[in-house]
Amino acid sequence: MSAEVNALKPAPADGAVQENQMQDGAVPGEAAQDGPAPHNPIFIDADTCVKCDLCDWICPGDLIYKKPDDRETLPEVRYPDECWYCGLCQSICPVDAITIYFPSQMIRCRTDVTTLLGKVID
Amino acid sequence: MSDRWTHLDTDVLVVGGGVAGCMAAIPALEAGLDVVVCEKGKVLDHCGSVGCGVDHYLTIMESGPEWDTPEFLLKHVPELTDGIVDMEVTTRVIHEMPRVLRRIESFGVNFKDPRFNDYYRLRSFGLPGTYHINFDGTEFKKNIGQQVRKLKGTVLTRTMAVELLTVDGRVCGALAFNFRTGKWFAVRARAVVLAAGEVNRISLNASGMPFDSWHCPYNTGDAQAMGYRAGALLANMEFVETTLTPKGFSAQGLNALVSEGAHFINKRGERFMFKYDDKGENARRAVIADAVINEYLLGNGPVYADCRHLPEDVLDHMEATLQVDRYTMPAFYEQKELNFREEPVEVSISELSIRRSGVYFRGSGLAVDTAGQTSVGGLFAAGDCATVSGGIAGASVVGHIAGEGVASLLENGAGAQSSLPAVDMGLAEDIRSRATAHMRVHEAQRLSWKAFEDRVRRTVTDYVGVRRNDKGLRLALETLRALAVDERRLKADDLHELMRVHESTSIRLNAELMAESALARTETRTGSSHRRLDFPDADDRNWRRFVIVENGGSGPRVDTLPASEPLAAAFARNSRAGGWKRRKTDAEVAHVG
Repeated sequence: MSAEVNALKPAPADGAVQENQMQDGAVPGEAAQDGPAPHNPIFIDADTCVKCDLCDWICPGDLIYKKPDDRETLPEVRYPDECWYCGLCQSICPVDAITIYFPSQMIRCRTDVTTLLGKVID
Repeated sequence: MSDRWTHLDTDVLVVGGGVAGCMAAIPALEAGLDVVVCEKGKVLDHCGSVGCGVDHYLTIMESGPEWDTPEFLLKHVPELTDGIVDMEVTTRVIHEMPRVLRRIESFGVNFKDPRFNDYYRLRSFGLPGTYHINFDGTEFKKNIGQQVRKLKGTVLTRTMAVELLTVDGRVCGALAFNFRTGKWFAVRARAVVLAAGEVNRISLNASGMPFDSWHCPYNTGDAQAMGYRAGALLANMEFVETTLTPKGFSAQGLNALVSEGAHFINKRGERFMFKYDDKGENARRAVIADAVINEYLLGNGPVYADCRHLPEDVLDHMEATLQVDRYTMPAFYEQKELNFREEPVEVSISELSIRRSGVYFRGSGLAVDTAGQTSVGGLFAAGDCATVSGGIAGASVVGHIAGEGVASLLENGAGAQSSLPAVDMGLAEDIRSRATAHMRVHEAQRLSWKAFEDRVRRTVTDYVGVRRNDKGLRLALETLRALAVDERRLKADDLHELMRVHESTSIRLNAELMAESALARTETRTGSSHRRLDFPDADDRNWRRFVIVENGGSGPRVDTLPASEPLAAAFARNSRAGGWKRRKTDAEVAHVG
């Protein structure tokens, strides 16, 4: 995935999560291998980002990759489906270029909770 | 990936740089020992379970009232744990609480509430007093991490330990790799502290997203797996833990909800908790989870957390501190377009973890003695991978105990004269070759770690989760053992995936240990933490016992020990069977004799 993916991504209007965001932030190759492209929760505003290394530095899951000490390239969210939604990247960003967006299966979760409670076999 | 090894010699290797690991490193460094911390995150100040903040700390403060003394809390530990707890270790942990709290304050953590310039202490989770300090712990981990750096601990970041090194049943280091550079480390150490947290990503949750987890999804039972392979004894592995979360987002926050006075209601608006416990919403976490599970099974779901009755100042405080435990919680409610002040919040149980079964002081994992040492010589454990745990306070106190235990062992005890044995580089090469073989798996054989983990999660959810029986557990074991055979096909396309592959194998092994232990405990204890549908009642006559599990060579070997004994009593038995013979404490001799 190139840094352009983030750069091209539109900021959702009025903070609402759009269904088609599931397709944004796709990791080439990943989709073919493991089903639909993962939702990218970490939106980095390319115009605002100062291309420092802090989001890469702080991410506890090794998701965000940034070419070190290079003020030309944007950070890359390389493993978006491994995000904990901890928000450390957003909290440390010096210019507030990062917004966390939740996918529909989180904010409009329709899972029947009883499916998590085990199967009983006699 | 380079073929060269980076060799490091140190007094103490700490695996995991979270609260427990840092708190173990600090007294060891203060004793003048060299300490290397091996951590999967990049920065010590923000890694581990509370790297983004925490809002509660359970402690005795000896502030005057009887309830605030170690003796009072200790009296209640048996009922808090349904009688399955290592009282000897817990006694030391509870007595150490005030001292460790003051130590943490000396590192710069401010536990006081600025509204009152005093400690704001709340009651929750069945505890017999207001033991939880509610505070703004946004900087908690930063202060502790900074202390390790100030004392000049060496930190290997983005580095995953994959195997412990032992000689004659005593630990002497570990092998690890950096998943950004591919550099491999052979670390020789006179003692090792395992502090890599609990087991997550082990079952399904409401969002269906494995990394959406209540606690850190990068804690995958690596310490338990490494310890097990090195011969360490584990206990309480049959118990699972779950919590309540806003449906769809497995995040921390239950403690703040219940201690500030939220109610749980079912679809009929009935406040149901008092049907299950006379403490209502202040019941133990395991009881709350069990009640909600039961409400859903009775068809009374959805279940909601209701804050509408709370006074404005309490709601203001809740709202102002919503982001302390999880920075993104306000964004979640905003994007969900839900105002928790005015509407009930639909809740679900979270995914499961192997941690401490929804009760304080009964940890699931590596059995430790009163010095934090496991059954393997020189190998210590602390935090949520050890058998006495309790949130960040448990991690802090047991971590500190382990750090002092290491210092004592290396200064005066059995480790004082020990020199570092040479690393068997042939063996090290074998281990590395097996590890990196995942990057060379033939395409036709390829199995993705995601697909592999999904099968583990499905198996655990269906048959090893909150409703168990003999047949289901045996079916699960069959599947989990078959998956072990598949592990060699796990394909890593890069170093990051190589790290994930190792996490996946740790998760599978821990699931197998859980299923084996759950099969052995033929009773139900602590509700859904271990509910056997074929043995639906607690059996105090036969089961006031720990289930212990260790590496039997061809598979896990399960045994039991009376819960009146400390788990260390089983260590002594193991040493008679030919393991490493450490000097027994007087208490241990008394128990064995």
